[in-house]
Amino acid sequence: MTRFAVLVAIVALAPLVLRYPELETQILTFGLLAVAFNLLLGEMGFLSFGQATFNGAGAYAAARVLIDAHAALPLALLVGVIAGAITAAAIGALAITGRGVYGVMLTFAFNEMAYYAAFQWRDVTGGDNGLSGVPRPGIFGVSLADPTHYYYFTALVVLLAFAAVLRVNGSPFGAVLRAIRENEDRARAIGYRVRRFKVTAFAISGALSGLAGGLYAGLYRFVPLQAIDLDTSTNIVIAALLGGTGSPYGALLGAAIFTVLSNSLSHVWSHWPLIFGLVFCAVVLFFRGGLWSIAERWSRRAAHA
Amino acid sequence: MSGLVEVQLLNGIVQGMIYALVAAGLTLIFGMLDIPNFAHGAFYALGAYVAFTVVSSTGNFWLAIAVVPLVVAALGLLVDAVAMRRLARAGHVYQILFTLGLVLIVQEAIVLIWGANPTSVNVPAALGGGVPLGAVSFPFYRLFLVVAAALVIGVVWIALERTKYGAIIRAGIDDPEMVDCIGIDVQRLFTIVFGIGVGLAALAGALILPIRGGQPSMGNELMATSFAVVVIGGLGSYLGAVVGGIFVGLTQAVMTILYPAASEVAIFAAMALVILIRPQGLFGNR
Amino acid sequence: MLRTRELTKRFGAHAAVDGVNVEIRRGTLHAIIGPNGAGKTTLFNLLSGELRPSEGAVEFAGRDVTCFDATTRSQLGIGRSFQRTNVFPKLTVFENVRLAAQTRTGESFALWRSVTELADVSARAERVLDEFGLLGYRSQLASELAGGDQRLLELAITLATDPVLLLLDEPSQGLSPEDARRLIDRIGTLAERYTIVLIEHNVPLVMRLATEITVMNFGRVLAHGTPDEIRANPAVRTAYLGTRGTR
Ligand SMILES: Nc1ncnc2c1ncn2[C@@H]1O[C@H](COP(=O)(O)OP(=O)(O)OP(=O)(O)O)[C@@H](O)[C@H]1O
Ligand SMILES: [Mg+2]
Repeated sequence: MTRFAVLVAIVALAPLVLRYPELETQILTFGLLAVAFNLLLGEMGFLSFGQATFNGAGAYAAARVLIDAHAALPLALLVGVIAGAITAAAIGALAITGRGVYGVMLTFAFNEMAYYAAFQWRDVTGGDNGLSGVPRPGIFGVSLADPTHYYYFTALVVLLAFAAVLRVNGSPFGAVLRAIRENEDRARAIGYRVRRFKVTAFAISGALSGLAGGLYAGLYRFVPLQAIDLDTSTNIVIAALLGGTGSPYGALLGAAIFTVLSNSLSHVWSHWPLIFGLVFCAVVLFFRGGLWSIAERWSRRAAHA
Repeated sequence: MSGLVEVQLLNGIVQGMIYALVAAGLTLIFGMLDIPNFAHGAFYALGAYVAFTVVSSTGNFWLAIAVVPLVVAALGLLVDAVAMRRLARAGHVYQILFTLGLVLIVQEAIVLIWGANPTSVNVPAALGGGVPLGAVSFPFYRLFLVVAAALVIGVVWIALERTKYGAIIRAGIDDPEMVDCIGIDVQRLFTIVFGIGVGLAALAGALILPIRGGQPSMGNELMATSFAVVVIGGLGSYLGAVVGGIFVGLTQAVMTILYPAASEVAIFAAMALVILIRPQGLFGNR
Repeated sequence: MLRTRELTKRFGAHAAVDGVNVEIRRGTLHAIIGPNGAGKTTLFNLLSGELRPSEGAVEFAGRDVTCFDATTRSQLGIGRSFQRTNVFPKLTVFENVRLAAQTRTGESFALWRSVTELADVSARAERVLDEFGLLGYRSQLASELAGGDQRLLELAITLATDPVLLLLDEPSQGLSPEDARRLIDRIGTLAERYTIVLIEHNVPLVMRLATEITVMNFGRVLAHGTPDEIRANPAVRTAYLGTRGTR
């Protein structure tokens, strides 16, 4: 609870300290993507390379209803959530037919398929020009045109979603996901229908990713093709791992650091991915818990001292 | 008929042979050795770029084709020794993640060393020109590519299926302890298989260079397609990877004639169909 | 309670279980003995649904369950423990057992409740842990337990699913002789509440506890009867008891 309070405080105060509300909004939406990814990897033990598919599905769907139906923002986000959940449930159901690496490959391949579909389906997605002219309506008579207003709206939504994730992790359902992560066969042997749990977890992860996609579409009033491409999926994986998959807070932290670094380092040295790759490999080899576990170790040591 | 359709189909086979080479290597490493190497596409890209350097400094394409698989395979073995074996105990997820980091490194290193712009080399002089085919002609070099790839694929297949070493390798995969018991160093055999797998990807990269040139992202694009190929063919089946590769190359070509917009999506749709109807893949037996 | 008909499982040409007919009566402690590779574990895999038979059928509580998977059979009340410890390694001992108890609640898809609110599930988990003397280790990770305690946890998980029939595959394997004896005694007390099928190599202990014994060899039933009948059976003596001591 205290950790969540600290998070709320940081999110609430961030725009007062750093005056880049758009960057900060992007941190939140990308953070939600990393948290959604971590539900699959950290809790259930499934490495998904398809998270951008769900993000893209949500972004395009929300943008479409905003453009075509002039829908209210909450409704558009809901459509994004549903689009993400359905896409993820369908892909998840296919991807879990095989074991281990096989499923990882399938999410990867289906992400590429989604990318090409979006690339070709210009009428809906705008193809590689992206989908522009997405309106950003206000809600309850409050305009969200100002970037800081939109930041606070996004913050509210993302924090609620984050609280929901904490709740799910602590639920009987979350406990079963961890059982599947630890020993799928035994989970089955004691009476769990593992497949149902997995598809449901995919749907939840997809719903959160679709929500992030919808918020992103509102942020830039634009959905680039990049929203659905494999690089985005890869970035989500990298960010979450960097932060640490042991906790949704870790995923959020990783996403924040990744977003800030990729925005700033690309100005400093255009070849920054090289260093990033090296650091990432080192994390995988030596600090598998990611930054969050290091932070936790410190705080534990501080508590003992 | 102007020969255009024939050319398209032949191009499909050319591309299919590239997929077959890459997927055959992937299936050796993934399916047989159970090492999830997501940097396979990066080794393919490196193959193309190392070949570019050899050709542009010596002018000798044949030398490039001979040297590139060895150089890149050596690099692959280094990665295997330094990281993949150490990570085996941590599990597949971490092996995948490590190779993901490797992809970032390789791709950016390529940009750093060779630049972000596409590179290309000329078709070797001995293979210039083409075979007339209706109103158009089909380049000799592409025919050479098909033959060369088929030869290499065949040699590796014979080595795996018809020689004593192949039998030992297959036995070692099924039951490593048993083979260890009869005094054969299984790890060394696995290292050789890993090297061959990487070498096949690098060779594919070198062979495609005179046709397509090299781009830093070429490996990433190939990776998803090769996943589709091995899923269609059956993960772990060498024959499946080869047939799947050619099938995918031809599918792309046919779709390019019929309905170009769906040529990429069609491959993955085929993959989804295979998963639903025959999850073990066309030639898989699991 | 459980009956098999001509149950057969072939791996390639080799029949690991070959035309087995056994009947497990309610309230019995039915031991299965036999040399290594006799097909005992494979038989269990067929009974619990881990494997599909090549031929034959399994009947449980008057129902043909041959086509049911392991999950369904577990839900019907067939609980099994594994010869190779098969727990949730990076979860705590308590979580391991609570997960097993939770399978019987229908609350497993409750996203909005806290798992700690399921008081009866926690209570049941604690009761089972207490019964196996593991309550003191409740917050330790399963993987940090000593080997013998992991064997106990293996059993505790199985019991926490509230089965009516227990299939126990060499629960004493890897225990010290006196721990093994204590465990078998505990299984003896469990037999007052459950129907149990027990695979066990320690034949003298089995003889003391079991009400019925089935001897397997080469995938087939070599003999079946009360401990006294088995002791007196000449075929068993030569094929099994004579050639092997206790382990
Ligand atoms: N999945 C499998 N594939 C192929 N053969 C198998 C498989 N499982 C078991 N077998 C074979 O079936 C036979 C019976 O094995 P099983 O494990 O049932 O014996 P067991 O009686 O439990 O022996 P132990 O006392 O050693 O536990 C053995 O020859 C074994 O090698
Ligand atoms: Mg056994």
